[in-house]
Amino acid sequence: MIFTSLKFILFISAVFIGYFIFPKRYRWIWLLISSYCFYFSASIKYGFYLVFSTISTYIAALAIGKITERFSVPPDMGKEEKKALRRKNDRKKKLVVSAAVLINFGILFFIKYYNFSVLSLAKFTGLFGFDFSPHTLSLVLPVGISFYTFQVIGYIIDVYRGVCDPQKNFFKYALFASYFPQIMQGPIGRYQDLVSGGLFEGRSFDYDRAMFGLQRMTFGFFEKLVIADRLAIAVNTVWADYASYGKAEIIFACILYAIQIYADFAGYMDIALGASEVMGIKMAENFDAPYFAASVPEFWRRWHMTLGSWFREYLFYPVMRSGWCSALGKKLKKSLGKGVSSKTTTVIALLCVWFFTGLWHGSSWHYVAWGVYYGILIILSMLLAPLFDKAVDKLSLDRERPSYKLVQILKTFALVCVGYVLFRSDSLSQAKGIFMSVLSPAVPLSTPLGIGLDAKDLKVALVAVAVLFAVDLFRYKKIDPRSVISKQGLWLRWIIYFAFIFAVLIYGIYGPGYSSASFIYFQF
Amino acid sequence: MNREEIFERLNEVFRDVFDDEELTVTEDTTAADVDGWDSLVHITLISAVEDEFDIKFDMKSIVGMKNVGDMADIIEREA
Amino acid sequence: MKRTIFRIVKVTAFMLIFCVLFSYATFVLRNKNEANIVLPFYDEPKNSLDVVFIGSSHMMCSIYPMELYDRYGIASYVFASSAQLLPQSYYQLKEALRYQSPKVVVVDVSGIIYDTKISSNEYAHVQIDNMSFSPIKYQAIFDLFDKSEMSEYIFNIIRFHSRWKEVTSEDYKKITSLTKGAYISTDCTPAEPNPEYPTDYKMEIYPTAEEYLRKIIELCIDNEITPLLFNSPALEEANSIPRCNSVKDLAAEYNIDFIDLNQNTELIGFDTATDYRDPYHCNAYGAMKVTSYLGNYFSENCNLPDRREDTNYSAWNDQLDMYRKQYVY
Repeated sequence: MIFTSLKFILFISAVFIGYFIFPKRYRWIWLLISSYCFYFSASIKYGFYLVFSTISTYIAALAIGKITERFSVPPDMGKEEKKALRRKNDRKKKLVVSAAVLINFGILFFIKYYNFSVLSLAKFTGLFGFDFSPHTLSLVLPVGISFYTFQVIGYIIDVYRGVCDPQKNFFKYALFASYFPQIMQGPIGRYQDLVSGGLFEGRSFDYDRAMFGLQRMTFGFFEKLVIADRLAIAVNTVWADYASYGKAEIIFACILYAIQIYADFAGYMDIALGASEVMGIKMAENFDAPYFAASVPEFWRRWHMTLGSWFREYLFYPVMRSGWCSALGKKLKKSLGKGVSSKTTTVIALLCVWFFTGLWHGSSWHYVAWGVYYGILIILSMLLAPLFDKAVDKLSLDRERPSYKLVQILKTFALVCVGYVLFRSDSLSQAKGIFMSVLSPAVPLSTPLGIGLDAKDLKVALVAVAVLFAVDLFRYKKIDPRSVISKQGLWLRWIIYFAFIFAVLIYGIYGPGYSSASFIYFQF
Repeated sequence: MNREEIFERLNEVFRDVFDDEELTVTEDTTAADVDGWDSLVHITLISAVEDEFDIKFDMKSIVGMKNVGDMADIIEREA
Repeated sequence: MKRTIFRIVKVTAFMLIFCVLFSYATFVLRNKNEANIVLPFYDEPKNSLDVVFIGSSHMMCSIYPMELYDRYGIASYVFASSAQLLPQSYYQLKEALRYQSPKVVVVDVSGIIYDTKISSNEYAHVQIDNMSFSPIKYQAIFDLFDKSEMSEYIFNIIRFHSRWKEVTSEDYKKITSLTKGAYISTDCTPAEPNPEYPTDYKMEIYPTAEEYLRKIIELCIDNEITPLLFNSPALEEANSIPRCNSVKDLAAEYNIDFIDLNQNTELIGFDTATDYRDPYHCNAYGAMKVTSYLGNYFSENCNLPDRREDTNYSAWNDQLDMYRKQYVY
């Protein structure tokens, strides 16, 4: 069930009504039922993987909890014995958490990356003359598997680290793993955040909060249907036939894609978070006006934030803190000094993080290239920061001037757009072709070929993007646009609400006239 | 070791890591208050603090600390 | 408490305004194909029509109600839509009976060459979208369409919203017409006469078509209306002639009349060289012949009142004057 369908509108209305009819204590049960209906409506077969991941991490978390409980040391125990007991327990816990993480990653890896791995391996050995044709499998990727797998793995690691206590109630845990607003495309939630966000609380109905939630959902539909799906027409047209287009059209399409993917993903988030907000459940934010970032690292602190923090906490930190990394650090410190040592280990950990970030987005080398591209940009910005600072000082540029900041923002946006060529293309060779089109002197600046949108569509897109820009400007300034609207008089507010609702109904790309492209992040 | 001593030594570590001689941190200082304190530097900072006080933070405290005060609490407990 | 009531009032008002705006937007955006055939039907005074014609484009093209009024004093209306099959006609009749209590209902049987409930979504929209908002409409939608298609009929903004690019000032106007459901054309396409079939050469009617044809006849009988089965001149397609021969049996079963002008063209002096707009539809010359035949049939068999002197029908006289000015054939 996709969010932008009549079926979902009916579903979510029923969920809202049911939620507030249920007694508060049992509302989470209603959410669990709704979430399973939502997920299983896609396919019963997919559900098996979800149930398996839920059960395996549930049991592992309980086991870790049991081991921790057993560590109630008798007061008369000696210091050495205590230490030995703790070590023994730690080993056991490590074993359990490793098994749970490996099994769940194993499933994800097998379904999502098996074919990719064997084909890449065959290509690689082929370079050395060992040809073999690998056996590939036709596996269908269950929707949302990348998201919920990361979520349950985050949970089990948090239990292991002692950041949160294991959830004893299996059904409550099942709700955490399957909560319908986030299961398809995130945000990847932390257990403790969702608990404090009210997932199991059954908060009472709050009129203002519900209205804010509905407004946010409406805006999400606006972003997805009016902006993203409209721009997708142009982007798809140019990408499908890039060799026929001039430089200007290709660059324009890259910029449109940047807007499309943001409106698409952030639109989904606004629907998900808005729906959750109606029920008084707070989920983690995933975007914070990303295109206002003044540097690439800042961009990644504003874009897909829950994925970023997942990789930081569960991959970057462990790699940095791992035995071999600190051993390497110590060795380098002696020979080359402190600065080089910490930078080298950071570079290694970053490359690792960005390789996997790329791979997470899809089992194809162009995604890996996209991830590594960001890894390199972030490493460069770290290494070159001192040099850059010196240059700015030498030229006595004023860092506080708006024009300085604007240039930084535009530079970051341009770098992000270059990355999207790798991301949007179907293969590395297509990405290469597009880069060549922009750089090659043989390609004309512009062609008279249409890009799939007529003047009227472009006008609608322009206005809609301007609205999105204004909303993001508010968000960037840490002002909730909804609270600004709520301070206006009734008529103006209603005009704004109707304007958005009818903009979606009239200018949205949906229905049999066009086939609404499925959400870009669906299969990820 | 009292709180004052801890902060004295912490300040030195911070100045060293962030390469800023004028930097002074207090109980309430957070990552947002210090220029350049992002997740990359955070981990370097943690290692530097560990070396200074000869302690080892566990992952729970690394991801859980909200401000420098939290860090000082752990140091007080562990060292 | 006061606050709660205020909020309930506010939300209700919002919903009401939404519904008004939504239905207006739907009207403006939707394709208005044949709206001028159907919508003026709803402006006719209640229970003022004596004859209602139900069916496909064959009805619109071959029967001119204004001529029936002018020459026979019969108040009638062609409540039809293009490519309307018999299952659709059944609901079209039900809809008509919400507003009118005719004495005679003429049913176009040309749809018997299909075994489906609708011919295509494009044409079904033409019928369903022009229907007024009523339980009948939803009965029709639930019966005629697959589950996956229903939503675009219930909310036809789903199908037509992308028409915002083509909306002109015409889309905002009230739709009127003087033809009482007739589609008037003077275009001419010559065609060959249909092949002769022996009258006892029969092919069976498709079950779906037969089921609904029976439903239509029974609905008429239940409402004390005289049903009259009818087929207009048109080029033979998909064995329509032998199938119509079976309709004769069905008519006999109910003891009702079936006028098949597709086979007995000599009855009305129909000339395929001059009387077709296109080979499947009459032009004005053909329509005059068909309409006269039906007018004579009604005078001889149906005992319908002459409305020309009736003061309640003075509007018809005014409309007839304007009609004559506007349409010359």
